[in-house]
Amino acid sequence: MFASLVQGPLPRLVLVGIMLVALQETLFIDLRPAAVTIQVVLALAAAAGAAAGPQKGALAGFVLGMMYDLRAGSPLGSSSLSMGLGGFVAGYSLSITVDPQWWLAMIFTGIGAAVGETMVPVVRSFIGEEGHFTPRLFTVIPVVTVAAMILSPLFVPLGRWCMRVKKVDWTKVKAP
Amino acid sequence: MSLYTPGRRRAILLLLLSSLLILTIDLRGNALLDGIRSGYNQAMRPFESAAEVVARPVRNAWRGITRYDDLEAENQRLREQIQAMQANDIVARASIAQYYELLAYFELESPGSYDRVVAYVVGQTPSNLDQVIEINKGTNDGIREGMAVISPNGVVGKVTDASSDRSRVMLITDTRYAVQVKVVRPEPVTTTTTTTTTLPGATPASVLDTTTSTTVATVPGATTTVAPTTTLPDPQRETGELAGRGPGESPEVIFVADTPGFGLPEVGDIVSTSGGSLSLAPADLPIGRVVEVRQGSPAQGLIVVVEPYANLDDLEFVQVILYTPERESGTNTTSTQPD
Repeated sequence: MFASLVQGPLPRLVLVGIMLVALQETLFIDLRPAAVTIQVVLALAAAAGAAAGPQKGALAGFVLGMMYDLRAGSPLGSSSLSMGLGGFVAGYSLSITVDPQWWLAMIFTGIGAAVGETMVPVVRSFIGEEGHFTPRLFTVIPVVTVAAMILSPLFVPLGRWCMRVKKVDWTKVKAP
Repeated sequence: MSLYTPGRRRAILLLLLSSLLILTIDLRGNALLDGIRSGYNQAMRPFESAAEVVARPVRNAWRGITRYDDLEAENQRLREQIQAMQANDIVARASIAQYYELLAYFELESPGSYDRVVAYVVGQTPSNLDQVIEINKGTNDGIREGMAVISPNGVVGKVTDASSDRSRVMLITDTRYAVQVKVVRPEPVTTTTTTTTTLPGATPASVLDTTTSTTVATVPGATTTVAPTTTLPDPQRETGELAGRGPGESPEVIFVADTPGFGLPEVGDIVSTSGGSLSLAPADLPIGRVVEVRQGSPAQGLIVVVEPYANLDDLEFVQVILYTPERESGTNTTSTQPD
């Protein structure tokens, strides 16, 4: 069991997650285009989904969301839900293609990030918090989505590495 | 490749249920999860310090690009403010001295009579919904959950989480923030050119008599002060609950009590904490001024929009007021309760 844990995606995911959460807490609270905080952790969860499929995307979102909640002080599990869904949706988008080009992965990452960020106020509403559905969401979600898309050329390979998924080289696949 | 095999569905369902379970446990309050959170935050410190080193040049470059015009405008505005404040300084000093004399005479408490801890803002939440900052002082300095946090201009928020050397402060604009407040009507009092000599041994009672008509400058010696028109708060007031409305939105006072003697709150009225035996914030901490009054739904009643005095977008130093009401001593409060 221990071996499977070490050989699984968790250690790499936690390692990268720690670095990204640290950057999120320092650099990205100041780089705020249109007064919106870019969600790099969510971007990685979505990128992992776009690189490795819905199941691994959901797992990445769950783990990264938990790390995010622990540091940000938000209700533990709320970001796991939103990021998990973001990763899942990004991975589910993969079903339309076998081998997505970089620009397609970018779109999938953007979709996942948009869904994840949209889910944040939804989850918060479910746990009794009010006042999160404001017109500002119409600024926040597009900015977070575009930022995730811009980061995706970097984050999709990173997500693939974290989830221990190898990119299939279709030129070397032999016909049955 | 099948996306919906039973195994995959089970795994995703498991993650979903795990999130919900953890969320439920955390919301109900759990010492184990609090311990894990505290330990994780400690473990993250070195990584954040390293990230800070990497981030600083990038951040400075970004600020240089995006905030140059703002800084120039702010610089100009601050120069103008300094000139205006210098004009009021003498009168203000005199009024403060007189205020403390009166407080001492009547043995009343004031916000200034509580110990405070000055803290440096070291971070803020990365969330786009929450309005939370982190300061570099914690329980080692006497800070407890619920304590009011102020800046030189007014109330900033309250402590919602305190570890040994760090605390989280929920700003008054956060949607979860609530505090009991009073809306006070300032009435303009025209002051005249006054010449006041404070004689050694003069009783505060005699000072009290003079305040009914003029603002008195208690500068030792024969001092002539040309004072501008100023305002004094009227004792009549409305009470209500101040609630945050999220980033970029001004807080609102809701559940405004209907006091016929006061009339409707008006633009320009002063909003400050109302205090009380259960409140974690002492009375009379200034919060802001009324900028809009509107009628809500019948259930909501009157809604008073408040512009905070404190500049919440650019906080560097804050003060935590080490105030704990007697009935709350030794107990913790949840962050969602009005204080």
